[in-house]
Amino acid sequence: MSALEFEILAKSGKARTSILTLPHYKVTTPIFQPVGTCGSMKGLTSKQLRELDCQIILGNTYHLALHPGGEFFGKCGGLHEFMNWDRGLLTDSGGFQMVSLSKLAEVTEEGVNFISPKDGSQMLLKPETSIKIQNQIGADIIMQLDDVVHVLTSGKRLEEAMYRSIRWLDRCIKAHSRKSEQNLFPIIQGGLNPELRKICLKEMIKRDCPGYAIGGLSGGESKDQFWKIVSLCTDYLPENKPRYLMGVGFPVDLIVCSVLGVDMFDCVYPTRTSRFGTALVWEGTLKLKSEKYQFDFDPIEKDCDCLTCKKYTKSAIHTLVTKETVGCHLLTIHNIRFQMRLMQRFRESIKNNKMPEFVRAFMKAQFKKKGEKKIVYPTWVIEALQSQQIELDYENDED
Amino acid sequence: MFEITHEEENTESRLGKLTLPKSSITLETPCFICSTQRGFVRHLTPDNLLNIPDIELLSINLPQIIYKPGLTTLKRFNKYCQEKESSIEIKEKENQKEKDQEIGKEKEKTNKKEQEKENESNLKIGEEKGIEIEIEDENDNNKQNQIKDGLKRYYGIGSKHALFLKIRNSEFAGFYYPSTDEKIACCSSEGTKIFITPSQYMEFASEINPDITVSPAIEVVGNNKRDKIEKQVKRSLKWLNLAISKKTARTGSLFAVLYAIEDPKIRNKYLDQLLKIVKNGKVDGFLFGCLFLNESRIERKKRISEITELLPKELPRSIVGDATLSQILDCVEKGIDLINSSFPLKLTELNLVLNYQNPLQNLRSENKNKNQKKNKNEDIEIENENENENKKQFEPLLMNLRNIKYEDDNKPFVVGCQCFACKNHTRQYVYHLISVREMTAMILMNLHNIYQYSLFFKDMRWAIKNNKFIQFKEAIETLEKSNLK
Repeated sequence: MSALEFEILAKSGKARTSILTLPHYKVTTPIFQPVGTCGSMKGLTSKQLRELDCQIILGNTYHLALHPGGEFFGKCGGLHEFMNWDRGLLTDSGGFQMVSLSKLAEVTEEGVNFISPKDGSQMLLKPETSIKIQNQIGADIIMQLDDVVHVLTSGKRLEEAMYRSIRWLDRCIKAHSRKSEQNLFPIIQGGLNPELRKICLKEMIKRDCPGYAIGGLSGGESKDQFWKIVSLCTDYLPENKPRYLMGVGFPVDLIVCSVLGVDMFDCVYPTRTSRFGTALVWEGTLKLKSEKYQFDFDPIEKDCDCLTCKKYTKSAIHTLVTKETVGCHLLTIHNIRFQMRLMQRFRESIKNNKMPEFVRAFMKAQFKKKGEKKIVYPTWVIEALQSQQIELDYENDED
Repeated sequence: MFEITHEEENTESRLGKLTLPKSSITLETPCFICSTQRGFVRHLTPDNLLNIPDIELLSINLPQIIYKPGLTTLKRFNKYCQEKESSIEIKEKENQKEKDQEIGKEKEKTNKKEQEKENESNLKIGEEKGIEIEIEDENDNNKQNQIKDGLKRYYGIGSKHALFLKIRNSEFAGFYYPSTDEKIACCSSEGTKIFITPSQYMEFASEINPDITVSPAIEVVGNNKRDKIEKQVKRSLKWLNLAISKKTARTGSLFAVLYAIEDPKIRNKYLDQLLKIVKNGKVDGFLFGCLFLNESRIERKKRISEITELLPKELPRSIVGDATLSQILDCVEKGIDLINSSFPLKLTELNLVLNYQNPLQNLRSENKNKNQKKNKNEDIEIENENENENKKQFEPLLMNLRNIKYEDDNKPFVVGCQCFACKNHTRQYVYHLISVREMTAMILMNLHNIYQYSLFFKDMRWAIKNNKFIQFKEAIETLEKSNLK
């Protein structure tokens, strides 16, 4: 039983652009979901998020459960009411933060034992508890609690984690009490081992969930292995359901994985990097703290339509960044808008049947360097795109 | 250009209209000058700032921008803007010529259609649907009002706001770097010590292109010895003359700095000399420096009235300081028109929310009932009393949003407030954001506090217009006292 509809509008190889109708909003995919950790994007009001054309944002269950707590949401009517956001919301299970942020995190068959940072007491997070809290928060899409292991784990521990995630998925499905309003996504595990991944895929697909997430990646593995596992998963996952790759948000990764057939992404990268003064542009990144921007009176990106690029020059942002909170807000606005526009242009290119040209132009802009005649691309990008019959441009014809 | 529209009957306060021709803004005084960091109201991006309707004048303290962006950057920026403007003009002229030539030529029309078809197929790969953001400059059809260069264009301050440039020497930043006869010592926002001469200050002013510039001066701090005060007075008059000589259209209107000196002999001599300079017509207003520094309330009132007695009425007076509500009324009572304060911003930093409108309403309804009791019958009296006791709830002037009682409170900050934060968000949301230390809490509280502060000024103007200033002042003082309990 599902609370969403997924309609594919156009395809180009494995890549596809579709409309995902959720209880609160209609989302167009492939889409990037910014992360609003504790119920707000850092420094932006809900109105500004709407103006940036954000369609669906992420909330972290771990932080929300600590403060204000799951019961609170049960009383006040959910996170949508609380933060005055009327579009899509997605919550993760809390498992990942628990393992990476808590001091003690011990995994047993029952659940995850950890020390709560609130009062130092030992707590147990079971799949049932995670689903209960997510039911109270009320997001459109919720995630199962999975056994998270480091991506470079191998051998028995990895196998155990994969099988346990399947068992916990069944427990999550059983505990889910709002199936007609919230969509539960399983998370495919199996590390970098293709055989384990295949087993996990087969089992989880049997459960016939509304959509599927690919987890356990983006943690320090080599990119060669990374893209092959993503491609394997999208080969097996059913075509008529959305696919969500967790934790991926660098622009190059977004485009390559969209070519391989992924529909949804999330990452803290654009918002976090703006607080350190880095702007994302078509050609890569700009470190605006550097002195060389003191006399640069062009906007950050000439064709960007966000507030920052319409009103401010790089020189103005250079004087503000890391010194005034406003500088951080302005850069956050630009970075999020950049990600939204990138995905929008990718979607349009599929509709206009010009996806390979778009990818070629984007990769060229990202990797070309001044003064070098030939462009050098990372091997994994070349191979990943070749697997989808996209050839890159190696000549650097400077203007 | 300043015009007095009404003088209150019982005090020296007055209503006025101050026109700032550069930005085509007319301010109704007494009004509030919002203090900023580098031209930005703290935490607020321009689209958020537009959500507060009554803020029209923003003040900038020069030491904040003295190092970054600095004079060279502003000069180069202004050049760049001028070159862009002239190239746009040339392009427009060329377009006009082309249009004139095209009229009446059919062949060119058919070619045009073909060109359009080609353009459609060559459209940039991935054509995008843009987003709509209201940015006022583009909607302004009157090109003369568009800001062409200067700090306003550099920092994206829109056409709805005007700039007030001043300089506060380093003592006010908490650093004691002594100034000299030739230079003012400032503390930049990076913490470095910088000296600036008065002529450099005026050069800066002409690059910044503000609406009002305060003449360079070192503020006399408290209990200086007699000869030191005389020296400083001499120096400030010398610098005022220098500022007048460098005054241009780009530096805007010039305000002279007033010293509140205790000793009457020195004071009268100083004012004599100052007023002689003012008679030449180049000074457009006054700024009371070095008040709100630890003097008592009575002393401050005395200092202000001693000076305003002798000032020409038709020039606006302003004052700088973190003033609470009743302290502002002290100043306005003696004839001050513009108040530059960062009081609402300080409240936000302490997580306090200002609730001005509801306590005042409660007070007004109380007073109305008291007056009615004298006229009406006893039966009706009793009914009214009971009703009011049920309705009235004590509403504090300041609310501390760190208090855990707001955890379950889903009302807006102030019930009935029309600001952006109260229309869209609740107390419990901001309580949560403060607990997890999110920046959005500061934004919402700042928006609300500044809005309530500007409501206070509106009421003040109403009180002056209807000659009820003294009653208004008493009401505000009872409000503040009741909150101290």
